[in-house]
Amino acid sequence: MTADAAERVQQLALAYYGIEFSAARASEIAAELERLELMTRDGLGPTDFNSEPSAGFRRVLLALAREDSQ
Amino acid sequence: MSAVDISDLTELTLVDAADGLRRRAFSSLELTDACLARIDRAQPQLNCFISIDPERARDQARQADAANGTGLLAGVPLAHKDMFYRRGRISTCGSKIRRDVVADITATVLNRLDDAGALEIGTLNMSEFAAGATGHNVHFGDCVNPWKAGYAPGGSSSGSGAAVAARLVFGALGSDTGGSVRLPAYFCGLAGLRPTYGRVSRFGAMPRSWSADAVGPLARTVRDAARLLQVIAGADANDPTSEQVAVPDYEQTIESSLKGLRIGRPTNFFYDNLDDERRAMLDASLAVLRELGAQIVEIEVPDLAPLFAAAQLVLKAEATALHETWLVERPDDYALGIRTEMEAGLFIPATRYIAALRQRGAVLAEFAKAVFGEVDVLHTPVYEYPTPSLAECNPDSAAGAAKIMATFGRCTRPFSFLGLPALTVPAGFTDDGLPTGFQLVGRPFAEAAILNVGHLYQRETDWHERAPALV
Repeated sequence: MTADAAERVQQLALAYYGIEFSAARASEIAAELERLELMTRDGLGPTDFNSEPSAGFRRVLLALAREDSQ
Repeated sequence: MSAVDISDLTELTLVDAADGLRRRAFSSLELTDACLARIDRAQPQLNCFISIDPERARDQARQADAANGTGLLAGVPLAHKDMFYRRGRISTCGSKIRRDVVADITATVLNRLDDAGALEIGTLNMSEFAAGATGHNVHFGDCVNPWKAGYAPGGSSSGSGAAVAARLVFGALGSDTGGSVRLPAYFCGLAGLRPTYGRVSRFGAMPRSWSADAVGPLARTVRDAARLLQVIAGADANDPTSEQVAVPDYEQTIESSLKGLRIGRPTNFFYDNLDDERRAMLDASLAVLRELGAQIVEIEVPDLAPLFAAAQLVLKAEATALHETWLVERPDDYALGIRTEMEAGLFIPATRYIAALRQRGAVLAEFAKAVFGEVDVLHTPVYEYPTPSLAECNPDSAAGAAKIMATFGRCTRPFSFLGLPALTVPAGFTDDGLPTGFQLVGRPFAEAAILNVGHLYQRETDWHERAPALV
């Protein structure tokens, strides 16, 4: 995690939300964001171009339930 | 009505209490008074209630006795996490921010429980805005594990776990976003069910994460949980995320034989951090299920670490969106630990949030194929470490608490992201006198299957019959 990332958190917090984070707190947040980014970006795999965020998931849930009942 | 020693009535299970009321073996008023007397003794130790309304409960009980109703829960005293709205009543959501807000709607689950004849004695303690897995609450005081003073009852449905385990009410509703029903059920020695996403209406329940929230029961036995699910399950026109899927008769299928049923024991991820004592208890529970005729199948599950991270990302983004205004305008009205947990959510790019949600369907399909193509039910730990004391996992003060906090939800949250039904079943006590248990995970909308397995396990064991001693 770079000092730039922490600084960016501070700038965004002020610009978007009017919140002033200390350098230490901004650094913690930046580190957490980096961890989440790495785990999700590399871990979940590619997405089909046509998949929808919510309806797609619910369709799969229902399709699996239908398969099981047959 | 017969003359009954009301001090014994709180020992009944929910199903036995409901059946006894129907037979007129005792009255709802006697049952309610027994609960209230026990609450008087326990509340100062456990702090599991946020509000108690004895007069309303007694009025309801008298009405139930007069009506001699036939509902599945007619005359049975319950209480629920203080986040299910009832018109005209305050639902604090465990927070300072909502502690004076009177609800103008009634949650569908409460309406359904009312229709089944259930009573409501009060409202139960919870983590602030359902954000916390330990039972801490700076606004209403910490909830305490009834099995051992000073220990975490689990959260965020902490009061639901403690109150049901301590025999103060016969069952309770909680909400589960990343494990908030299953974890307190585990720490308090109860059955706790997270139903499939869409199985139970969330209308009138405080939201935390639209993509992961589920309402579910905590109860002394799996059969009790099945009875509660029976009442609350099913589509609701007020909740467009609830699904039109038939609700089976759970108590009818709960006795089905396990012969030939394939129960999966993961060979990866879930056992990575488990100590020998907990591992032995999980193995012993599998041995019981094997004796019942189930086939135990070792199975390598898809890597769940990315799911855990994606679930965290989605939860943080959604919870922070819900709380953005208050985070900006009233930051000091949150507990420090609750606020800081949400702050990273302010900076999650919309593209990452949407990407995680778009991948969810494909990840579920892949998981279901890999796991449920091989087994019918998955058997896993609920929590991998010793139950922490409230002091050592206090998010606002203890050094090292963050490390402990990070351990909660590792075994439960991935299934929230997948939307699958999951059930905690008690499976013994560790040397320090605290409960342990296992988790059963089923196919979408196959709650009946995991309730069946959990119930037959309880028919062979007596862990669920043990009650914590009140001082």
